[in-house]
Amino acid sequence: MSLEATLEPEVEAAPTGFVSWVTTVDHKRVGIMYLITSVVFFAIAGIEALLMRIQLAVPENDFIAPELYNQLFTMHGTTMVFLVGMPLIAGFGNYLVPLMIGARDVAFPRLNAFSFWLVPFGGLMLHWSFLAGGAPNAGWFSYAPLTELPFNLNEGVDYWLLSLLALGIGSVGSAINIIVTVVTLRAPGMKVSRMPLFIWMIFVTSILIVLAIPALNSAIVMLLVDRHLDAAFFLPDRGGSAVVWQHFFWVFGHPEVYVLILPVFGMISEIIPVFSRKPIFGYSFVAASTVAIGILSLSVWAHHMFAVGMGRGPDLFFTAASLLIAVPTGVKVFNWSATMVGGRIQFTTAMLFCIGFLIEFVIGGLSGVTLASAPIDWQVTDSYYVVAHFHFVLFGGFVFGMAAGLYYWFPKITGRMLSERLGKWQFWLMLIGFNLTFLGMHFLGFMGMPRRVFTYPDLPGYEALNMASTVGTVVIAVSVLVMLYNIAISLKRGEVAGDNPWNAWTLEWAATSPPPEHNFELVPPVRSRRPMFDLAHPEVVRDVPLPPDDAPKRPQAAIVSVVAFIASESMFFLMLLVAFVIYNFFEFGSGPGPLDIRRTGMFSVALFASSATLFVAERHLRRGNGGGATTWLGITMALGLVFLAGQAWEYYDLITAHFTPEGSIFAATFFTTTGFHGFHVFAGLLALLAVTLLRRNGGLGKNEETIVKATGYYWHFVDVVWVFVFSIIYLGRIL
Amino acid sequence: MFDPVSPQASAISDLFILVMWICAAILVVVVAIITYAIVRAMRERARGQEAPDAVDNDHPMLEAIWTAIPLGIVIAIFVLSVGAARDSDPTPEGAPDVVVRGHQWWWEVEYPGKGVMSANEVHVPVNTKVHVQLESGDVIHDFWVPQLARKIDVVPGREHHVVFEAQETGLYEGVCAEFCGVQHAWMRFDVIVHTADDFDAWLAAQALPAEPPSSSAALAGLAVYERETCSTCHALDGVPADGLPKQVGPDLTHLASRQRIGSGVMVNNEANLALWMKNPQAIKEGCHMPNFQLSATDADALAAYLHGLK
Amino acid sequence: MTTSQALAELWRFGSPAWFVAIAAMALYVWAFGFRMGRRMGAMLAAVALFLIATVSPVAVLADGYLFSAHIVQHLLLLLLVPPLLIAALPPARVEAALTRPSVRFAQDTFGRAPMSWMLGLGIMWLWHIPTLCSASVTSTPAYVAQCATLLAAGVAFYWPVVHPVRSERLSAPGSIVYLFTGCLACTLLGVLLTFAPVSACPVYMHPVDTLGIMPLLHHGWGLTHASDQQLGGLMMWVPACMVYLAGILVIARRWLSESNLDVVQGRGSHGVR
Repeated sequence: MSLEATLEPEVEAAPTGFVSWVTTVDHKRVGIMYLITSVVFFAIAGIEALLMRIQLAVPENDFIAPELYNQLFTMHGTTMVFLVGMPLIAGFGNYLVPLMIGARDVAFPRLNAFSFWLVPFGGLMLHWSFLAGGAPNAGWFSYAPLTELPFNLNEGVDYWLLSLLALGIGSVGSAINIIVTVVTLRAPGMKVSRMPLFIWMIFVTSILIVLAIPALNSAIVMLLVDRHLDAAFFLPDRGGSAVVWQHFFWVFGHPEVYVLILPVFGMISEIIPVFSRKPIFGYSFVAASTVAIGILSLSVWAHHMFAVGMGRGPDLFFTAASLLIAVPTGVKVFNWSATMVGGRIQFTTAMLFCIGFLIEFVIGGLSGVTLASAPIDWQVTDSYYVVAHFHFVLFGGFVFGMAAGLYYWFPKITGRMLSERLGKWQFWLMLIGFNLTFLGMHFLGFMGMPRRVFTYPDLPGYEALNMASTVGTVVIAVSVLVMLYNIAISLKRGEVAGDNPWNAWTLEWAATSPPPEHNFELVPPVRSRRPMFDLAHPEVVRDVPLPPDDAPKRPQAAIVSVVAFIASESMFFLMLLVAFVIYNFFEFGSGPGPLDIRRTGMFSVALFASSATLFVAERHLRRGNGGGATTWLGITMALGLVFLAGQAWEYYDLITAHFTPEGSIFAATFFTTTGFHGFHVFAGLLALLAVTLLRRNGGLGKNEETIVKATGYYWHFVDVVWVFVFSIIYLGRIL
Repeated sequence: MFDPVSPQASAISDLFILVMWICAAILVVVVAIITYAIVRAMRERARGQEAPDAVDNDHPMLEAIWTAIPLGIVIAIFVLSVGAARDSDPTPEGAPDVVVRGHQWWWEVEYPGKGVMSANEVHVPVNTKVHVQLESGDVIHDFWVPQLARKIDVVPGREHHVVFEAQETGLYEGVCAEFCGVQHAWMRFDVIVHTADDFDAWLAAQALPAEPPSSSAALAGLAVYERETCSTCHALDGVPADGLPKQVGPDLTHLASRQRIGSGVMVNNEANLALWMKNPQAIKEGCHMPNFQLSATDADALAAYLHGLK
Repeated sequence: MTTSQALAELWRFGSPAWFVAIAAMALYVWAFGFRMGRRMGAMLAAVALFLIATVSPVAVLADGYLFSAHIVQHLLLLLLVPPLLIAALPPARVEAALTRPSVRFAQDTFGRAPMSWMLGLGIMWLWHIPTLCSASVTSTPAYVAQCATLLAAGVAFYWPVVHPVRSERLSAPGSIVYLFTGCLACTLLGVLLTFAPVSACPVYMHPVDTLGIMPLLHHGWGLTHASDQQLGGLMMWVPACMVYLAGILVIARRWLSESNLDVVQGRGSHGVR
């Protein structure tokens, strides 16, 4: 055996082969599968982009038919956001979070694997539409009423809606997992103020995912009801509104932008300090500004809608809020730059990508500031200026940051280094190609070229700038090929990395490269934000006592997960109720429906009573009276069933009286909201049933009380939602 | 930038240029800091006097300063935006001078009370505040003439208004800026600014009934027009009254007076009209005008007739 | 009438609110003694803001003229006066009072999350049901009830976050979630008010102009009923959320730097060489 062979990273005894990957629940393997999935879709969406750029290279080109072009840009955007961006984040998040906080795995490994498999499932479903009669063709934000049946018989829209629903559920599952993991599984001593910034940012990102995705889901649900139950939420000529979709979409869509960029901020905040050999400048400012961004990002959505004509007041309000969000972002940029000043900068490929990120992202951020001002936005929105802006943020920001992350963590993931020489080729090609492609687009916007056009007339200047852009795209494609080649040869014969090739400071570098299935033999003590630094400089940390393990004091995983889930569901119902209020109390009001308030009130009492009986069951359980708990759980379920039966009765009466979604907006909102609530009651019943049965067979063990409590939270939540639904839909109509 | 020719568009471009300078200054500062860091690190490495790994890195005062400065800048931008919003988007007063309706993929242009109906061309007098009312016949469109006014969405079920005052005569390009379906790219229009006299003349000419066919080819074209029931979708004979139901296709009464056909897809001349008649789908794929499979003779005749509709 | 005239003249010197303010001040001095300091300052500020809400032009305009003035009143009573009142309480006395079972019970019932959250925001929402909102303008008992319940709700809402006794406060992450969800609730109400094409408070639709200031409001200030409501909605939204957001940032920053101390202990800014 040669010397090199003995230096090979130790192969762990984990099972290999295709089946072992399909069945794995190991967070690292799931993470790697996420990353591979996103690279595949990145290639697909990249090819779509290339095709579009070829079409746009010269004016009045007929390389691609208009319908196909529209499908291409829709798929390019949707794929890049949902099948490249989100899986990349989930991939790095899954791989790195447990390692960085010194945990053995994520909190719920099976949920994790399930969330992952929804991504290829959703991706295949979305792309299946190409074969099934046409891909979605209304842009990645699918504005209604263009996506409504009268204007779009294309089934691609349905594929788009359903696959986004699937992908959204996967994202929420994965986000809840990360939240619970960060809250409950940190190594002893890793207080919140010592978490790596990547953990901070992915944590805030996960919260945003949990809160934002339901807004999209509610909009999707309404559009599906329109398309398949013939309702008219978004059809103005039948009493709907053409603008509500936009509000709902962007309530999701704008936080989504930060969902994509925050984890990259986190990566940059890890990589720049390591290659400047200095801690991050102003840790607490970087962390706190992330929280501020997270909060502000929820109230700036309508800056995507300045051209809609919302009126002066809202336009200026959203201008103020959107400008404000530039401040915490600016603070971060200054902190990163200041981290570099006076540092011993090492110009690795990862660091080059960080520097590239800083400058390109600042350009994108500043054009974002111009777009935040309503009057400027009135001129440049929906033009190529916007295309340039978000590609500077999402390519110059997101992709450059992700590339930095790839070069930085690849050795940890595979045990081998990527070639620095090829890496630098990739960096410079990408930098040149990127700027060639997107810088000129700002000027096309100034000249009045609208976005999403399959061709353009031969106006002065258009051709040269578009041609440059197309050439730039080719250069980008070459740089991506260099990256893929680099990965391929490095996997085969890359330099062996060792545990900590960069002399980095966070816990993942304490594991072997690649880490064994259980991650750590021994988690180093966490006395500061940089445990690996402390390990290398024992003289510094001598005096700092190791804090006591606070793990037992942390909340229980089941409770955290159910609270996060409830938060997500609350957003969903909140949006449905807001829709109800908009459609029924605002301008679109339709006459009162034939609702029997008294009868439903009686069934509501059964539902509210079930919350009380569940309390009793929990108390019995706390006092060790298992039999009593079973009885009261049974009564709770019976009351829930009574409520559902009442709802079924009500539905039967209404439908036989021809009160159906296609009849009026009131009926559509009524059935959507109460229907989803009924569905949740049903799900709650199933959960209670499962808990009751498992208790019988002793399947819950010592966690019994927590699990019953967590299920109880959900059941109480369903009841609280009904309080709002009942007061708004039933009582609100008599007020 | 934008070459604004109205006070409304100027208000925006003035603000934009100012904000652009502010942004450029910020970019220069950031790039300067990064460059300084890089140069310093390289120089220290060359001299072999590199700093060891640092332990702490915090400076609350500096942080507070670079939180406060951007805050001040965005407040300034906000205040400027309030002014620009007022100047660039005046509140409309009175009845609209022009009503523009967006359709998949053309623009219907009506001069209420003047008995004038046109398409894809908005004619306005110079140095006059023009109040345009925007409506949509189907999906969301967006009315954007970069040199003259803000862009504003044309939303079905709502009436939007935009006011501008062109200061120079000439032709200004307009586009639909909100994606509206397969031929969104060819939903262009022109705003033509006349002197007051020219505008009145144009208006008077447009108010006249359609010109009767003057040649035998044109007469044959009229026959084709009637045979193929073109009037199901297009208005021609005389001028429709105000408040006519939304049209499917452009009004043809004065088709020949317009500069382009198919919302910008071709120059309006007899040869192109004939091409269009032969198969509109070959020129503007997916547009709502079907291919009537006209023979070459019929198409030419129809083109001759339509081209006579000055 | 010009704006400056309006600001000078539209005061209610005969309002019973003066009596309430003086009584509150007297009660405070009687209970805690008179000593100039931070707490007395907070109390004075609270009383001053209370008076601005109830006797200044804000109150006059809120009385049937402007919905936005009505919202300013809300914000003062719900958002600004309560934390000042709490800050005026001496911690030692509060701690002592909490040993009494009745006080303890009251606090644990009303002054703890999530009850305090629901009280604070629930009462705010309640007064925005159009019929109740109109009633609070047209009927004096309803108006008094509104002011009193808003103040009480504000105190309940802030109690767990700025409790005079530090050990009784919510944890830092708890406070952040508490304030954040509070901000969401204000945002939602603000959004609904801003975008509502119907009147949120019909009483403001056709003001009876007994003071002759409608011309000033319409032409001087350019406020129509619609833009007035939009303005009100935006105030519900921005200033309210900004107060909460500022609170969140202060708490987050304190929380982070607190445990940072032991990391940096005994090291200079560039540390060990």
